[in-house]
Amino acid sequence: MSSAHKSTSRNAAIAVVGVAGTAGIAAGWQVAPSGANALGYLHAGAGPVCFSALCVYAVRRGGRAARWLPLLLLGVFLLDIARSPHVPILSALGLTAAVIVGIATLRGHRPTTIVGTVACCSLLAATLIGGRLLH
Amino acid sequence: MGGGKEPTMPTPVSSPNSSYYDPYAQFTPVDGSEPAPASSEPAARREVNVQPVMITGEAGAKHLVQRHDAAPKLPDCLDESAEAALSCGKAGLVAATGILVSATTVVGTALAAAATLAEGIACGKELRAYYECKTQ
Repeated sequence: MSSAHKSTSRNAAIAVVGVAGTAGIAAGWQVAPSGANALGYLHAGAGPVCFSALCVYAVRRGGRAARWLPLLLLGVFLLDIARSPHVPILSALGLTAAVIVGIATLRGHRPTTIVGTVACCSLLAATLIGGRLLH
Repeated sequence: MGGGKEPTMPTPVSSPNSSYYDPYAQFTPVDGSEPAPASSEPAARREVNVQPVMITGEAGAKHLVQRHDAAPKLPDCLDESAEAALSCGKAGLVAATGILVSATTVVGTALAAAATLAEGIACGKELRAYYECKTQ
């Protein structure tokens, strides 16, 4: 077993994710008054990249629940563009990619799912950053 | 009346201001003596008829409206609360999904933590915006 696939306990994972979430909230709270715009760019770029990496890892690793994770991509995309400025043409392309990812996930076509997930998250980051630049 | 001296009616006293009531001016004794103070002579108590008066207008309601307009308005902060709820809900969803799906490996834990950190920053920013809206 490689170090990348070394198992951790569920409790340790919960603790690490909890600490990361708390640290993120504290950082956002502290930096927001002076750097709200920079935080917006950071979230627009880092959020889709991290979620894309999580989806790709889950699909490649397999598992009973992990293979359905890309189905959340459409909801995440809609949630992000609904409350942030975005570029409509890029958003339309990204939504198309998210639908393709959903179909590929349901049909169990892993290569299409992975490529579509990367494309969708890239378009999500592009439309959010472009929307902030244009507005 | 038997040729007796008829009592003369007292000369009415008029006042240029009809709404002004002077109990000494309106009472003149028949014999021409000085009028006694009203408090010392209960018999001098008289009835005064006041014409019916209708009071119209909505001074009370106007006053309430003016007070309502002058009162400082509290911000509702609905937009900020909705943004904070969406951001923090999304952060919680990402964290739970990451733990459930792929967090039992080192890489999965790291990816879930990174995704949660990114969403947590947005959550903290929106919470700060909501807090500042409520406390302004």
